[in-house]
Amino acid sequence: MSLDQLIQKCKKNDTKAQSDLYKLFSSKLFALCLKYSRNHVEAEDNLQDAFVTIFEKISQYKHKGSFEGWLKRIVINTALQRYRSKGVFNIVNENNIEDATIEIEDNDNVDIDYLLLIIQELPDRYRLVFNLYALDGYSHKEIAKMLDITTGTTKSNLARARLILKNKIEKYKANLNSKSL
Amino acid sequence: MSDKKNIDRLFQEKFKDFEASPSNAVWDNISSKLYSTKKSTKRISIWWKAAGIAAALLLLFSIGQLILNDNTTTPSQETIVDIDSEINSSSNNLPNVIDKESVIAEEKSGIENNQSKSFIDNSIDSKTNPANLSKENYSSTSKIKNRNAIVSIKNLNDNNSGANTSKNGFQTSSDQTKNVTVEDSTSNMLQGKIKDENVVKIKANELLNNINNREEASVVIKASLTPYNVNFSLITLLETNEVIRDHKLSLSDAVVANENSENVPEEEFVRWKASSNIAPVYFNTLGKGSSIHPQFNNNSKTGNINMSYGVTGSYAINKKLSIRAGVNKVNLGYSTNNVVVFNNVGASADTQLLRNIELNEAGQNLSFISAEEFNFIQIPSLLSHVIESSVEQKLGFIEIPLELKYNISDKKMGFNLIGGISALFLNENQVFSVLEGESTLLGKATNINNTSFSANLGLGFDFKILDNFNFNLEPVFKYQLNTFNNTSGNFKPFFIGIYSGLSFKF
Repeated sequence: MSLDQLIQKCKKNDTKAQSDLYKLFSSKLFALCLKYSRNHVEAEDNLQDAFVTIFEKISQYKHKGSFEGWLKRIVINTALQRYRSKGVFNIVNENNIEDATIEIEDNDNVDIDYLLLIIQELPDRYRLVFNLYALDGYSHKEIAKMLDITTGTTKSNLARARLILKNKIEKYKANLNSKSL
Repeated sequence: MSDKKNIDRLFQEKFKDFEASPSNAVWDNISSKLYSTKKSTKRISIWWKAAGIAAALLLLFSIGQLILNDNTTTPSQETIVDIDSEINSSSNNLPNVIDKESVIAEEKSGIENNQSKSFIDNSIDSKTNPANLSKENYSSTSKIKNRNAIVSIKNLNDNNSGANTSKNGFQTSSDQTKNVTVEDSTSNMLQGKIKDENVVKIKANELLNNINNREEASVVIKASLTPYNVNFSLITLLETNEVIRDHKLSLSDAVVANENSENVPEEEFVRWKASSNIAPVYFNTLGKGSSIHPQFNNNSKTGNINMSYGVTGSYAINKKLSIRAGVNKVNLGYSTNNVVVFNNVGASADTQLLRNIELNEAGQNLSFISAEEFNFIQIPSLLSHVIESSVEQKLGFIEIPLELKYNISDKKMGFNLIGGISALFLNENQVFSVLEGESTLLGKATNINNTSFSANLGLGFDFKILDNFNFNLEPVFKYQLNTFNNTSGNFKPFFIGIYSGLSFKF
């Protein structure tokens, strides 16, 4: 069965099709949730809410653009909605820093679980901005609109997020090296 | 490996093919949330179909009644006897009864195909087979019987949908469903005669094994298993003698009762409602005509305002649609005005004038003439003096309404449309002569069917008093389909009731 057929069945509230669609996309979308959330539990909550929204709104999907992109937008919106309702966007201290390219030694040693952990440990807004910009390709303008902040702030948040991540990775590597030595 | 690299790139590459499996609980939560919203939409569509079929049958029924009104002189008593005997003979034949249940289960597919015509045919077959009636026998029975059969089939049909929808409710606990012991019998409910529960238990288990779609079968059987159900059907059986109808009532109620007793999850609104009602009812005829004698066709008729009272139980299928059944006591009466009644000693042949009234002793010597027939100049002053008299007919019925109520507005004041049918069982039948306010019992009418039906249409207004208490006001028009036979002229009786009462949700 093609994806289009599956979508059509989901539009008719076919339980089997919904289950199949979930199986098809859940691991990819859960990965997305993990990056946007503070921890595993919150990520599961987001995934759950996102899929309920997906099945409720799938009848509005008009087959324009990629279906996966449509799903991802819903997941990201669900994650953002969580922080929007908690009002965490206003907390971070605004002392704008320049958006600079931050480089790091290319090294395959870094474990992906560790990278995920340090993303989740970022302050909420840094994490969202970093994810949106660096991993999901949104522009500063789009991010500013989504989070209801200025582009100056998003750039500053991104730079701070990068710095934090870089420091943690370097620390991690140093640790690794000292252990292996 | 010491090239400097943009930190974004590092993350992009690492996360490019990153996937992670959420725990199974996530899907369980999602599906349970979806299930709760989907259940209601699914029910609407099924019930719309069922309601459509019911409405179509009702329409056919009414039209057929209008067309065949003059030809059908067979009293419906005969019909009841027929159906009774069918059921009784089937009571000797237990497996057949269970077959019938299985037919019901199979016929679900019939509903889905919307081939209501063939569905009806099948059902008629399924009814005749257990009764060991040959097809010829069946076709030779009166038209009324056919129609009744259709009504009852329609009811079975409703039932099936009920069972079908309630299946959703059972699905979550389908394991339990299979384990439920088949304690009471489907046939118990049908006849109330078979005592041997063990036999029935075996037969019902056999049925479970034989039918391919186990779940459906178990739902149908289970639907008829609660003690409540058996009691209900036994009582109503004794009371009304209308076996098929009660079968339907008890079965649909039982489905519902089962659903309730199973504690079906996600019960998000109150489904059950009990109401009492009392109503002034006004009885009259639509066309010119008389139920008493053709000579009174042109006499003016005055409808009397009498009382109806009763109780109703209602089950909400969804937020919009509810089905309800009840028992009402209805008194009706009307007067045929301008009837000259005089003591006619020695002219006994004249008593035949009232062909539809069986006169008692006091009335044996009376004669009746419509004053409309007199040329006023000819009337002796003696007679014109007594022109103020009339013949009054008083009727009492036990009414069993089965109605659908569709909610249009659910604000502070609820607004509903009501449609359905009632079975009317005659329990009071008197004819009086009223002369200057004094009434004398003449006898009883002979042309009133003991069982008749009415088509009901009305509006309902609900006013909320407390959370669970509503005040209801329901003007309902009830068109009587076959209450009288052997009427003359265009006698189309109806009654209008303004039903008011309290209802309690639970």
